[in-house]
Amino acid sequence: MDFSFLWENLTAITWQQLVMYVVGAVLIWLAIEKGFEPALLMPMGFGAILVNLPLSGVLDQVQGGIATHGIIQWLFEVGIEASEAMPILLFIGIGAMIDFGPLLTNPKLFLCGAAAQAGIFLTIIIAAALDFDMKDAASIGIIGAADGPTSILVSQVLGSNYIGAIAVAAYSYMALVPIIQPFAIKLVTTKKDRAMRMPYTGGSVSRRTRILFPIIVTVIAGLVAPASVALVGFLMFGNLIRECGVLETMSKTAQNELANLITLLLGITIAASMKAEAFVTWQTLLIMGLGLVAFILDSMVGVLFVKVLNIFTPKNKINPMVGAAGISAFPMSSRVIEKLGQEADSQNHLLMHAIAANVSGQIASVVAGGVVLQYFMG
Amino acid sequence: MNNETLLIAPAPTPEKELGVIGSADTVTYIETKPADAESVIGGADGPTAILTTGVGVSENMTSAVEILGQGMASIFVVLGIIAVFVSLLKKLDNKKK
Repeated sequence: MDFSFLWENLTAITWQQLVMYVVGAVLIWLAIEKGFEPALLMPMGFGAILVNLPLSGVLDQVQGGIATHGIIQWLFEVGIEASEAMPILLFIGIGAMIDFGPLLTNPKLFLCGAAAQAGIFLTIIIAAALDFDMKDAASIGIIGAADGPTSILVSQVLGSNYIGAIAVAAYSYMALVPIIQPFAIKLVTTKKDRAMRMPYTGGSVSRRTRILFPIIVTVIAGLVAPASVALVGFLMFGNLIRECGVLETMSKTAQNELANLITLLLGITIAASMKAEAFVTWQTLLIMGLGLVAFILDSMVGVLFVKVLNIFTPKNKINPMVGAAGISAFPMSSRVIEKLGQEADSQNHLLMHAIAANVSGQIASVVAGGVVLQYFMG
Repeated sequence: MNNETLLIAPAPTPEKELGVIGSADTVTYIETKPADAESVIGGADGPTAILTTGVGVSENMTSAVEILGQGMASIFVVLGIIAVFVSLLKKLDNKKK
């Protein structure tokens, strides 16, 4: 009796697939041991192993003339490729989680969110200089949005060949914000800058403003950058559910069950784009490097923008570090600013200002995604 | 990474020939894929080789700078207008109090 079928698949494993098992194991280790974005990196890591088993049943296969449909490939085709439904639906949950109150009390900090998106566009230039195709360069630059679903959506819509690497870079660096941002901020600030105090006056925001805010944001973003409507609209729809005050159960569902379920599926589904032949390339390493550059540039431009702004508003200065909180990585970036502020002056509390800039960055990053799509749609 | 096709000179024949740029009469359809660009070196024609490999990158750079300008302008306009609206709503709230 021939038992070779037992080890046939073992001999079919390629060295690239072995690399992917290591990548998967590292992602799982980062998620479990280091607590880096576990909700995303753990499913992605497991998925990376799953799709790289020889003749993996989670992908479409034809064996002996029999075609089988793989579940992960189906989820990818339906949930991401065909409609971008998963990343867009996730925005309902994210919108329901965000309290825009601190930003609404200090609208000037909207500008921090805008400035901190510069890293996206500067990275697109660097990627273009490295001879990446423009659509790939734009998809790589979007890693700087510090917003996983936006990165996945933009790279998918633009048909980038590197969606797997982009997703891994986006989520990994979001988790690494506490390491990346202090380094970038210290490059462009002095201890005196970091110690600058900002009084927090607080103040309540009326229910009317909270309800009108998501509607106004959607209409303005839709008129200026129509391609951003799906992203901004669903983010703001989630926020309207939160703020309207009559859909409390739905708000909680969006924040918890909906967000958790989609995050879980998104993580394992994105693994479909992590097949060894597409992932184990030198471009993946380059993309990881460019993603890091994007995060650093975001932070540095954010800080420098506030320094310039302070020249024009000397009576109402902002701590330059708050500019770096304008990236979308919430709440990691706010915590970094608070910590750095206290390191420079133990009585310096910047958390609420940083949160305001941080939530502004969440709007700005989805607008940036829409603007990039708009450019290619002509 | 760039797959653009570049037409350089007149009277092309239907066939694409690569790496044969040595005289003015030669067929001059060139694909700017890196591998093809490398083969253009074999044409022993420095300026053409530089042109062939350089055009895609410089076009990309122009587009990238254009995205930077349009992108940052759009983001500042959107967030700026929102900030103005929010400030107005805040003033309305304060007046009511």
